[in-house]
Amino acid sequence: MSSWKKAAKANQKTHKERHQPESRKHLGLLEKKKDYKKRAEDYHEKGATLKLLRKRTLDKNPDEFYFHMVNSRVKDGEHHELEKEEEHSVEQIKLMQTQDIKYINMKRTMESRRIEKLQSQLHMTDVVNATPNTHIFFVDEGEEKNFDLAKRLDTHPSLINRKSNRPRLSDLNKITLPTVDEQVVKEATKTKLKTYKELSKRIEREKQLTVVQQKMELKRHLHDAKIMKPKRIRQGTKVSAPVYKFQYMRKK
Amino acid sequence: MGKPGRGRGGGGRGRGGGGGFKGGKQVIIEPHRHPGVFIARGKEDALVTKNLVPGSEVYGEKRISVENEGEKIEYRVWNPFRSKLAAAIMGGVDAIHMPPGSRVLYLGAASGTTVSHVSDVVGPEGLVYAVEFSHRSGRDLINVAKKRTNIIPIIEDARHPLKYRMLVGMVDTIFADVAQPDQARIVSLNAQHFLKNGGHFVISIKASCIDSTAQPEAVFAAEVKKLQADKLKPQEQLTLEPYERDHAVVVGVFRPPSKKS
Repeated sequence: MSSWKKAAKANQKTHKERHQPESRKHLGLLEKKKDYKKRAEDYHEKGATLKLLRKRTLDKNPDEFYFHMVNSRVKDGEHHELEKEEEHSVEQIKLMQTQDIKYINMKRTMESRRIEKLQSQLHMTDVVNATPNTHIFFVDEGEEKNFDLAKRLDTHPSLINRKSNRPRLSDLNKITLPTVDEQVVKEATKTKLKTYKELSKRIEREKQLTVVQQKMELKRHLHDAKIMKPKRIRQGTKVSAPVYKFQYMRKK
Repeated sequence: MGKPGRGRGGGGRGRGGGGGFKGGKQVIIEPHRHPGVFIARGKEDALVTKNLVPGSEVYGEKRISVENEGEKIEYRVWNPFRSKLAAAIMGGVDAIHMPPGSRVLYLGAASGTTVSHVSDVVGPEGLVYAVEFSHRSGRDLINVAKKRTNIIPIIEDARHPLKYRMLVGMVDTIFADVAQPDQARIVSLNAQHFLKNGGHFVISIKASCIDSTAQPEAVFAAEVKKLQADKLKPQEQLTLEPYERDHAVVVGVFRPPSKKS
C-alpha cells in the first residue's frame, strides 16, 4: 500500500550524500550518478558524431563542388572566409537607395494624380447620402416643438435621406426627366461601377506606396544619424512606418 | 464570302458607349434643388453647372455635353473635393441663396475655380464680385473674369471694404471662404457695407484656421455667436463630411425684417 510506504518514510533516517573520504582524496572527486550521466551522454554524443562523419566521408561524392570550397581557406586549423573587395562604395549604396526612394515617390505621385482626376468626376453621391454629417437648423423660440424637417426643407418626406439632391415640392411637378433606354442605363451604370472600383484600387495602392516611401526614407535617415541614436517611439506595422524621435541638431 | 461589310464594323461593338448610342445619351442630367445646379447620372456621377461660356473650361475640369431636343447644352463638373460650396450642396444644405440673376459678393476667391461655378449658377443676369488679396491667384482670377463677363475681380484685402466700395453695389448674398481667424469680423464688415437688409450670407469655416487646439464643434459654436453679435442671424449649419474634415458651412440672414410687419 502506497499510503503505508509514505507513512513508513516518515520515521526513516535520511542518509546524507557521501563525499570522497580524506584517505582517497588523491583519486579526485567522488563521482555520483548525475555526474556519470553527464559524462556518458557526452561520450555517446561524440561517438555518434564520429560515426556520422565517418559515414559522410564514405558517402562522399568526389565530383561535388560548391563555392564555399574556393571562397574559404583553413589556416592554423581554423576556417576563414577569403576577404573580397566591396563592390559598391558607401556613396554608391546611398545613391542607389535614394534612386529607389525617388522611383517610389514618382509612382506615388502618379497614383495621386490619377486619384485626383478620377475623384474630380466621381462625386460619390451614394456615399454622401450614407455618410453622417451634422446639419443644425437655428429656429426661433417656440418653433422647435413642432419642427418638421421635410416641411422646413420644402421637400417630400421620402427624399429626406437623399442628401445630395432634395428637390423642392414646387419643382417636383415641373421636372421632366428624359426617357431613357433601360439597356443604356444598365451599361452606363456598369461603366460607372467599374470606374469606382478603379478609384478604390488606386486609393489603396497609393496608401501602400506612402507606407513604403515613409519606411524607406526613415531607413535612410537612421543610417545618417550615426552619433546620436534616435529613440524608437512606435514600432512599424504593415500600414504605418515606425516612429523615431531624433535629437535636435543645430545645423549652423 | 457572303458578308463583305461585316469584318470591320463588328469591332466597335465591344466598347462601352458604342453600338449606336451617342456619347451624351449615357448621361442623365437631373436638376438640383438649387436652381442652376445639376447632377449628372449614368456613366458619370457628378455635380455639374451649366457652362456660361460653352466650349471653354476654366481650370481643367471635365465638360459634359448633352443633346436635348436638337440643342446642345454643355455642363462643367464641379468638384466637391475642392470646393466647399459644392461640398455643402452635396451635403444637403437647405439654401445657398444664389438664384439666377442674383448678385453675390465672394470673399476669398483664390484662383476663381469656385467663382466660375457661382458665375454659372447666377447666370448672365447675375453678378459675382470676387475679392482676393493674393496677387498671384488674383492673376488667375482676372483671367477667369476675362471670359466671364458677370465676374468682377477685385484684388484687395477683404478686411478693408472701404478700398473697393466704389466697385461694389448692394448684393443679395455674401459668400466667404477666407480661412482667417477673424473671418466673422471680415464678413460682418462687408455685410454692413454691401449686403442688403434681409440678404443672406454663406460662410465656410475651417476649424483649424480659427483655433487649432479647440474642438471643431466648439469653434463652430463660437463663430456662430460672433456672427449673431453682428446682426448676422444664422439659419443653418452643416458639416462637410465626407469631402472635408472639420469644416462647416453656416448659412444665415442679415438684419432680417421683423416678423410683425
